[in-house]
Amino acid sequence: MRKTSLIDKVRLFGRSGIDIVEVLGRSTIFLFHALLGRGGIGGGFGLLIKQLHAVGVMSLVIIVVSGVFIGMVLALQGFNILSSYGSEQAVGQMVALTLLRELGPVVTALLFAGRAGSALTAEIGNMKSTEQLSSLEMIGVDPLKYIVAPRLWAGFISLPLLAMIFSVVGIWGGSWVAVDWLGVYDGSYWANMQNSVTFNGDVLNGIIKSIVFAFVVTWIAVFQGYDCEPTSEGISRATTKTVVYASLAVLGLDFILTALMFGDF
Amino acid sequence: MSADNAYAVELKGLTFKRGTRSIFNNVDIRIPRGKVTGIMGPSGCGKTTLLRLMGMQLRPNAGEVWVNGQNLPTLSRSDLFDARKHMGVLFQSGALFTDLDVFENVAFPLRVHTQLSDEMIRDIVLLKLQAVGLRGAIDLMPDELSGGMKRRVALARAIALDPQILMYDEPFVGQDPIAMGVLVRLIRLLNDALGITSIVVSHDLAETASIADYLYVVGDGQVLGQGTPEELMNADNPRIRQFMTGDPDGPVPFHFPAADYRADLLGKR
Repeated sequence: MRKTSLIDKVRLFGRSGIDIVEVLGRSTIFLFHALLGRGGIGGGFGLLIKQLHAVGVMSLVIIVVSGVFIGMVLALQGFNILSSYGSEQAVGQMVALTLLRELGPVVTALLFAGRAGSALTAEIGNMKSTEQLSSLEMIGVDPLKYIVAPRLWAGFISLPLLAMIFSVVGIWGGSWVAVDWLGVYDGSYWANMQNSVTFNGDVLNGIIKSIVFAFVVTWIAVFQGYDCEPTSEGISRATTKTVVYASLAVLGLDFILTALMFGDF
Repeated sequence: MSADNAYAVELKGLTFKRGTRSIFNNVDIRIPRGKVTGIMGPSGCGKTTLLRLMGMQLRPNAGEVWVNGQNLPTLSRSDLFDARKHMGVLFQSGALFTDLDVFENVAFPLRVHTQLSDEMIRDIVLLKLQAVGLRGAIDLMPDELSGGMKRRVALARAIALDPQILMYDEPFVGQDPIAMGVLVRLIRLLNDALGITSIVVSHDLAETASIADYLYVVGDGQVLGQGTPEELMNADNPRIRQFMTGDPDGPVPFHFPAADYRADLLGKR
């Protein structure tokens, strides 16, 4: 096997940099054409409703079940820690703040990337490999408007709603464990939550986070599908990339957004 | 504006590269209006690429692509989609929309580009499906169709808007003799009955030559020859003659360029 010289390594490094910039540029133009190009949402409201069902409604089960269990675990862990300080009455506020500020938006985005994001990538990639996208183009229909735009909008709308549902059922799951099982007084559970959670500081910031995550996750998912190599291996690689890139982007952005929202600087 | 209205498609000085590899180098092709034109050449010579360049699904590195008097590379994205409404393409796989049944596949271009009533759309779809002999398959899904049937449904969809130019990408590949015969007759019939311009990209010599009014043979990134099927059959150019007669030995090598066979076998490479 040929040894790679230093100059080759430098060249490969440079090539990788150029490739990354090229993909970023291509994906930005892709997003621009899909959202702002001529022709509105493409195909009308019916397509958006269909995608809202596929992307949002079909993700409800995993979101609700995960939300309930995460809320229950939070309450259990919170009770164990807080009871050692005699503060178990604060478990409601701990569950609510954790879900609204962090876990609701973040875990929902990660689950959304795994369930809906990968499905979007595979679906669009498969359309590409079976020449359905080319066929649309030659019929005179822009696939960016007809296929991509409704899926983007469906993701943008669904994820924040799913994140809110996640937080609500999580708080509800937490009350099962804290109030119904561990015996925390239900007035303390709900009243402490009501006193400590603010709309602007907690609920709104959580919603802003989930909107940002929705934008990034859906963008990555549809672009990976549209840009994939039209082979079974290419689709498989693109689907993996969607989950990995979207998850990393969500976690990285969460830190930045948390620092900006709650960093006190 | 293209000077000559006698040609539906004109490629002028067309150059197309994939990376550093040149697929077409300064190619000139003119497709006469109202005729069936065959574009032939060995596998991998870029025939499908040429079709995609004519539909501007690929952008040439240099040259002009005139279709119906419009130079496609100069059009905006939205104007390009408008220009494509007058073109139909039959893809090699059929490329039917897998979530729609046969009726909705054929109705699709009518629904997105016209304001016709449902009754009118139904009548047009029935007419088109009758033309390809698949009116009885109207309620089937694409995965319930054979390969040949898929291609015929795709053909019905391609002619739904009565395009001026119809392009066929390898229409005869993988067809049984009956379906092949049907397709050959359909291409000629549709061309004459609808008065359209047909471009058939294929390496199936006998079938393409039997229906084409004019033929182009492409290879090595260039047009190797052109003329009526009879003219090409009697061509002096050995590359064209080898292709037309299907000889394994000749100027077009069977083997992809490789190192010495003996050295490879003995592991000396």
